[in-house]
Amino acid sequence: MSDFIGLSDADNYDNIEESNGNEYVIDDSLPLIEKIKKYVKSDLVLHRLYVIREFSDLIRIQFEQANEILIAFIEEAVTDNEPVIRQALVEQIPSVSECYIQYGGEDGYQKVLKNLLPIVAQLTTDRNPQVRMSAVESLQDMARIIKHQDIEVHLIPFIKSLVNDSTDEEHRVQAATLCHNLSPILGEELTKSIILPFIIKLSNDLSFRVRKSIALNLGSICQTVGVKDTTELLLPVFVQLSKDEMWAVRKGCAEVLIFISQNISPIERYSKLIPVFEEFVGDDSSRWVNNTAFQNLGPFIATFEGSQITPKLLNLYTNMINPSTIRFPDSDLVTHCAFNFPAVLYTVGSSRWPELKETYLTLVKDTNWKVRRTLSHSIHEIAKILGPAETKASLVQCFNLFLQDLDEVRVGVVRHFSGFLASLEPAQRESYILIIHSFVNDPSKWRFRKLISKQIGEMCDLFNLKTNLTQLTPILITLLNDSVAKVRSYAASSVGHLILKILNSEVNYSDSNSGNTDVNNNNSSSNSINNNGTNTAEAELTLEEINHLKNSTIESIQCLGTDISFSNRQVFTKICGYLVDQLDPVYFEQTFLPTLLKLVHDPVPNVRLVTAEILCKIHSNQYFANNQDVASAIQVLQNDQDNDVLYFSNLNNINNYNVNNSNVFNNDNDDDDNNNSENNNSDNNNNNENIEDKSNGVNSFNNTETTTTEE
Amino acid sequence: MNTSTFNLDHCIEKLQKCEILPESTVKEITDKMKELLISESNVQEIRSPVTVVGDVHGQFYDVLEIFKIGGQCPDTNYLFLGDYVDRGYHSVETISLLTCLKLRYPSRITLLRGNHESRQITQVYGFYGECMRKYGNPTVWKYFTEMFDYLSVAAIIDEAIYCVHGGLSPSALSIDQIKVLDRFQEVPNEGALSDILWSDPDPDRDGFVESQRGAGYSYGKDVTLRFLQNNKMQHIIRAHQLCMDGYQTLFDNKLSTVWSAPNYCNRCGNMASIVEVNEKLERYFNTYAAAPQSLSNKPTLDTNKELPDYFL
Repeated sequence: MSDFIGLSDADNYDNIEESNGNEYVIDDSLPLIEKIKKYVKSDLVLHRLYVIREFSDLIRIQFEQANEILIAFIEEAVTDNEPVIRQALVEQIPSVSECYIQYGGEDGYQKVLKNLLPIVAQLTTDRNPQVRMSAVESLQDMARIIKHQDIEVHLIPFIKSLVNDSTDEEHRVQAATLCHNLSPILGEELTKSIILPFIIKLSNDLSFRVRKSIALNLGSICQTVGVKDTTELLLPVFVQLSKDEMWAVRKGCAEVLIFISQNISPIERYSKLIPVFEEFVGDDSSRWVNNTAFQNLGPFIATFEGSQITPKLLNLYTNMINPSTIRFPDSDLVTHCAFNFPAVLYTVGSSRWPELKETYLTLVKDTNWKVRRTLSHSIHEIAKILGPAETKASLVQCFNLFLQDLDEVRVGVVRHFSGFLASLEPAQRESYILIIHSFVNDPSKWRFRKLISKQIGEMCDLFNLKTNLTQLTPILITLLNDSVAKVRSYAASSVGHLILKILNSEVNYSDSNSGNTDVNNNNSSSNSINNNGTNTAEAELTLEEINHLKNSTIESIQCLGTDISFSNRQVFTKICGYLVDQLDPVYFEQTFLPTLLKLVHDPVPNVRLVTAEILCKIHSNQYFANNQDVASAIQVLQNDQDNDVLYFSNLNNINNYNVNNSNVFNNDNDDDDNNNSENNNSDNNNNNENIEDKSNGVNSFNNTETTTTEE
Repeated sequence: MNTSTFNLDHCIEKLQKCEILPESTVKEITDKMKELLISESNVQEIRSPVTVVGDVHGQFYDVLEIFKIGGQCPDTNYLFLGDYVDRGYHSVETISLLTCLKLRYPSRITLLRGNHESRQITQVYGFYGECMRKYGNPTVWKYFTEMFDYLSVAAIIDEAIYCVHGGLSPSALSIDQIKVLDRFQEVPNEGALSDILWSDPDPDRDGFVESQRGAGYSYGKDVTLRFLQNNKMQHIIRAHQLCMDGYQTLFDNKLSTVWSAPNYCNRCGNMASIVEVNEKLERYFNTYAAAPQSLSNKPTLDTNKELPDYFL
């Protein structure tokens, strides 16, 4: 465990640096142009690469001196033997071109048109595939940079020559890719008049690689030309290619099926595309075509109107989980079935749930956790579609299963907990309060506590006043005291909603005849249910008790501002930052502002700097713009000893301050919530097994494929 | 967009997405850092409340985790005890981010030197190799290792809690002696400056004994208590040694070790912790596990041949 190093007496780090580093080191002291001149012809690839990446800096900083010589450098580099050099070069050219146009006037623009654009075009047919790919991207950028009228004269002829190039099929393949990439930039007119003829010609090409490229690229082109031309001109090409003798071409068609479907009329969709699909999965001999088609079946169904989806088509979908109907056993159709389920249900409508129910109930028990995971993330959507009765009948059992599942699955239902509860009858929701408690009281899973604290606010809408006061409020107070800062931060954002709820319920209670006078934009149906619930539940609490609880809730929040722990005082300030937007300003001024103002004298600078930030925010609120107390408080902070307090009390700084950068409102930077990357368990089995043995549940939040299914 | 424009907020934003800074920007920040650090004492005096962080060793996503758990800077004050680089896959991003944060919020964050903030050590344990991979040349490594020479070596919280990377030295029993050392050099092989970065406490042996690490000493309960008494300190917080629970207290709660790299080297399965010292100098060990991204994240250009074996 100890860092053991053998130390020798003669150690001199300078020697090591000289012998290792010398030949690599680039002399940074040279002026930019000299540096480039020196290293652009170096024998070392690293040197040449380094200077090429300096090209756009060079031209931006020293346009006058460099613009002539840079063209020469570029033209030289095109002939470099190393593909990585040519690739780096072609990636630089668009930003270099922008500089020529910006600083070089008409002369610069001509250089772009006559020197730089042809180079990029030429590199799209480079012998190395990486270079070609980068060149195609750069050519797209170039097409956006040059004037639209010049595209026809300077770019189209190049593409045309590629299309007609009978010597090298690779060129024609690139032509197809270019058509695809450039068509959105060229616009509808040019696409229809020039690109479409190219497409049709190449779709009959003798080389299957060209035809495949065309098939793959039909998607974006049909989005550009619109429904009429897609139906008349592109659909026949698509259908023809879907029957191509080469599987690679047919597979390409399977991949773009959805885009075609989105851009033709419903009749054609029904009459032409369903048969194509049925061919793909029925008779087609290729497993790749079969697989690709099935992967896209869900989205394909989603392009239809509900009534147009035949039972036969729906059966194809539900049979994706049926081993006996799957023609090619190794394909992972089950995951795709699960992934697309919400979209399919949404499209066919809740009335056809009986046709899908068995499939769903089978999927939720699938042994592959990735299948269960996508479903746990979407069950709240299913519940919303089906409504409370069916949710109770069919989904609650699944939800409960997910709550006991692995963390990777559980996280889905925790993340959308309140969303699911909203689809339950109010009486049913009460039983889940215990579950909330169990998450909040688990010290080892802070991410779950964070997710709960994010939703407490909106959960207040789902429960009656008594539950809000006696259950949710203590939970929120606990979360405001959590050991993890991020949990406290999210809890702070929920306080406003809770306060509003308990304050406004007072109005409802005393005035039950006049109905809902809630100033929130709450879901009115849940509120009317809430009213009924409120009346019966409040029979258990006296008015006195209710008022006492309300007051003590407000007091608990206020007390944070005078707590002995600086962390709680900071939380209080952050809460105020939210409350000022959510509460009635008069109420805020009376109830919370006085405590906040005292914090300008707080002994801890971290409290004062957050206070400064919030006070500036309050100051920018119209109601408080002329408030003397707020203005004086800010002035006090502007004379603070601490530099950071000074910074945050400077109104100019705050006005320019992007909300996303704010310390207080930093809740959106949640990489772990949204950007889960592919789980590398398969690559690293040994290590992970050891870790699980040693760590006893240290970490159960392995990252997985992103499967948020919002439909 | 001129990427060498000096804009700290922008740099911090970039780094938080795990994007490295251009070489020219690294030069600027390390130059400015040296200017800033030159006016800091060998033994920095800081005020509570402050959160103390142990070794992080290039585990960038776990560093981001620390800010989620302990609070973002400048909401929370931080004291880092060193060992920012080596062994993990993201030493460059880690040290770059901490440097930028120090420049942006100098009163809110203090960075001390660890034994890995050294030219010799970083050539063996990964930082040099990582710089070569990410920048194509050793210049960035040179900039950072020069900057390391300027880092303070110890800190005192509220004149009561003494904080250092490794521990005690028989050549510097008084903090005043440490204050007058010349710290602006590569970590020497021996002597007080080396000892305080390399030493370890020993619950089983009293006195100072030469360390098995090959540098520094082990120090027992007796010399520790004497040190505290003579220097009028209440407690020592240090790092430098892996703790399976993330922390360990010794000597009747007079010394704490804090370790902040969870699941060290992707295989130890250990917890990590940060020490939250509040206004009353009470110490709370906030423990945590590896960030999810830490588990799945692998270096993209992984040519491990030039990196040493990471077994402990």
